[in-house]
Amino acid sequence: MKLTPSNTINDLLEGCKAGDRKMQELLYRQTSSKLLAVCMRYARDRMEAEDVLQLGYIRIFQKIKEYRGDGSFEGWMRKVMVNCAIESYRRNLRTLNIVPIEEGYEQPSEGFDFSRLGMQDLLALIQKLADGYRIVFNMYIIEGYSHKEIAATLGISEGASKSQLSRARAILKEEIIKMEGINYATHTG
Amino acid sequence: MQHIQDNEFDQLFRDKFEEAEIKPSAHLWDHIETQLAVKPRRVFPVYWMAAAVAVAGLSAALLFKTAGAKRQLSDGIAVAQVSPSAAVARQAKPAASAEPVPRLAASPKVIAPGIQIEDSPAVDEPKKDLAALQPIALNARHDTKEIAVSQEKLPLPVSAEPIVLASNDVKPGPGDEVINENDNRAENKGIRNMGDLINYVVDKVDKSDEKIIQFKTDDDNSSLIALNIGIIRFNSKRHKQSEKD
Repeated sequence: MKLTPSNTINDLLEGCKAGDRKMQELLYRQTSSKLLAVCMRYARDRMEAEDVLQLGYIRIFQKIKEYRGDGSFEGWMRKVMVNCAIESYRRNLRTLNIVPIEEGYEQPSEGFDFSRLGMQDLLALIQKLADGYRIVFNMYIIEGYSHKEIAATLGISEGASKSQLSRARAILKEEIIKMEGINYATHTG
Repeated sequence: MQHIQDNEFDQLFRDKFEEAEIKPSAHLWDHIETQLAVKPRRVFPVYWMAAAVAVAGLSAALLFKTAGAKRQLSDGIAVAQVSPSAAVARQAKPAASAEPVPRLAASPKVIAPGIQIEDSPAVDEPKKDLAALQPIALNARHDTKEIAVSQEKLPLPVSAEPIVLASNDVKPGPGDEVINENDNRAENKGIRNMGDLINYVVDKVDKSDEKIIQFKTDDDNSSLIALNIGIIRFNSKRHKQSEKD
């Protein structure tokens, strides 16, 4: 999200608001890596995440005139992207197969304990979560939504949001312990 | 890990993902650019269409309702209209065939009540007589000897006979008109049902030849014959005309 001096955020904003394709591309080049990382947390795999990213950028360019400057522009873009991810989740809700987390984890991390787990390891764990758990975990832990907001957005009760969050936490902890065990065995054996 | 506090656990995830970056596939911008180049679809026709469907559905529902009510009325009327004409047809036959005896003997019981209701002047109707000629010949053959026996009863039906002929003359008039109403004349008949009402209103609002919506109306029923809303457009009248051409 670093902007070159010749293209300040204001230049990009004004250019995108005017529908300047070059400016739109520049904004994409400068922000897409960070926003794809957001999409990846909500999606089950990279393909799904890139679909959401694509939809999100189109939405951003369509709605950029509505950005009034209250709050950071990056925060606004991230919010649009998260909304797209949630919409996609809700749209696919009926067709998704929820894979039980107990099916095993086949990609042990190279790290031994939690501090040595990389972002990619944690991302892989999150993506393994059942869809409902993953969405609630992301919205609450990373994006900082309240249970009330999550309940309203997903059309579930606050209680369901809380229980899904604690279940997601428990599963993630379990999985990390499993990984540590595998790594411990690999290192000692 | 089991003993780590939730807050601590959450914070670890937050830290890992805060500055996370994953480079998208190289072709992704091309897809976005392609989609940006596509002009957004016009929203207006969608709402327009929805409104049109709603109006069409509503008017159809109203028409069914009025048509149902009309049918009940017309059922009653039909009995009154049809029975005399049928009676007339039968009664008219003897006049033309000049063989009153067999006809009257066969039918008086049935015909008499229908006839007596109609009090109208006696006039000869040659057209109807022509239509009636064939059945009579058949009847004459079948009746034969039994007819001869009942000849004595002649005087009673004879007095009814002229009355019947008169009703024949009067009633066919409106019957023929109903058939003709399928044409544009219906527009001049005043407002008798929902179809007329809609035609009238549309006529006031839409002065063009191709009306937004147009109904064929008659006494019994109304049916849609022309619709001209945006891409939905049909005109049964025009099809008929073009077929004629």
